[in-house]
Amino acid sequence: MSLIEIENVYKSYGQLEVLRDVSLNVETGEIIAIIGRSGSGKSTLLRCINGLEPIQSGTIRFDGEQVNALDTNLRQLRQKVGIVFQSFNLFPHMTVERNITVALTVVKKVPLVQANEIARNVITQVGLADKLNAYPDMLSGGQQQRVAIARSLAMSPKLMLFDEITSALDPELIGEVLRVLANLAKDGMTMAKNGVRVSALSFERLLDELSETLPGYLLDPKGQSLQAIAPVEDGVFVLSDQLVMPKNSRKGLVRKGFLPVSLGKTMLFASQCISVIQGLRGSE
Amino acid sequence: MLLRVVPFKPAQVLAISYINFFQGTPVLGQLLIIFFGIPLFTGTEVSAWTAAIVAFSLFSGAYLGEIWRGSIEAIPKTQWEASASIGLSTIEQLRYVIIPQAFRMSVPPTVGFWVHLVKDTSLASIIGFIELTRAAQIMNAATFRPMTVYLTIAFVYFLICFALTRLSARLEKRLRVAN
Repeated sequence: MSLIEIENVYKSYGQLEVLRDVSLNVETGEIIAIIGRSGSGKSTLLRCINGLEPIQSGTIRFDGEQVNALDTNLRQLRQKVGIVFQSFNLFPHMTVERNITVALTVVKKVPLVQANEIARNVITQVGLADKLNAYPDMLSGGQQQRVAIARSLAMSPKLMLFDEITSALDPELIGEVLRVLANLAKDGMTMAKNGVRVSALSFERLLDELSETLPGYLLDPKGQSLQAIAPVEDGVFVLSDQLVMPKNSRKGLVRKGFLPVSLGKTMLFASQCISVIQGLRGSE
Repeated sequence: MLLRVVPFKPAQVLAISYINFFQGTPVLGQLLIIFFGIPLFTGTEVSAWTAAIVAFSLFSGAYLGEIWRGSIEAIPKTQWEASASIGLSTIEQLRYVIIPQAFRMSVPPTVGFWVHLVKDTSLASIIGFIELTRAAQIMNAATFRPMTVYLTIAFVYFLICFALTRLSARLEKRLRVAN
């Protein structure tokens, strides 16, 4: 059983179809980047996984339990699935410490003393031990995002979802957030990181980010074109949109497709077209 | 305010008509309707005190309800999402995340409304209720020193309102909110 099992999910906002027949399995410990153009449904997929958005059909199972059923216990689910948002979304009226402990004390019923202890641990992990008593508006964007990561971590979730967490940050602040992620990745928590929009430039930046986050994986960040990287080694594929985009169908596929990049099993899928990924999965 | 947000049509219609009536008519008219109108239709006498209390309560209810509803609705959707995603229930979201911020946001308009209300109480003199202005009229009639009397009264109004404003400023400083 995989940690996340997404099967034939359809999701639309009114007339607008956002996810169309999306299937994806994620194993415990795997790190997946979902990459796609703006509006391709990356965030939506992540938000469906923790039940923030309903789906129209298909199933999403997390840890063996169905997420989008009527009787889903979202409160329990969300203790196991943390999400970090693009715009941090810290609670501005609470100190950093309270931001982290509120879910612990209210949802998990952890005694305050113990919750404060946990807060001190996670805030140290993200390198902000001296900011426990600060309010969010006293912190920089990068620091706020690290607090948001800590808030999520404090619940010790089995899965972390990162929804475009660096795209609201100034370039010089991105590094500190990624370093925190790299440390987390070493601890082996399953992460689904919603990645950078695909343009030639940002795709390269993503490769940069991934290789920085996960040393040891064989991506050369120095200006390699996508074709040059693929295929690098056994079991590693990089598919750029130039390689796999069927002609004529570009528009429809781009909108509905997305790119999972899995590094956990030395598998790297990059595509904008879900059916191609499924094809690859089938032929594994 | 609750009636206005519950997903039940008749309740909303009732709430909206109430709000429209009390926001759309002058509070003086409301005072007169309650003081003179109710005895006319029901035959029961309404004391000036009761009429003033009822009229100002209904009037404040219509305004404050809308101010507070607006404050709650002004809290960004992302705060709801963030608090939902850490496992809080709807009630807990309101209690720990939404209302504390909405409260801070509602302080300036609420105090602003109170300041108006304090001054509007002078209207109750019309129905013979002895509030500040009526007391001044009585004193003036006895002493024939209008400037002294009315300036003193104005100063008393000012003191009450100024205290309210100061209180608001202090509250605003102490509480924080999303921008």
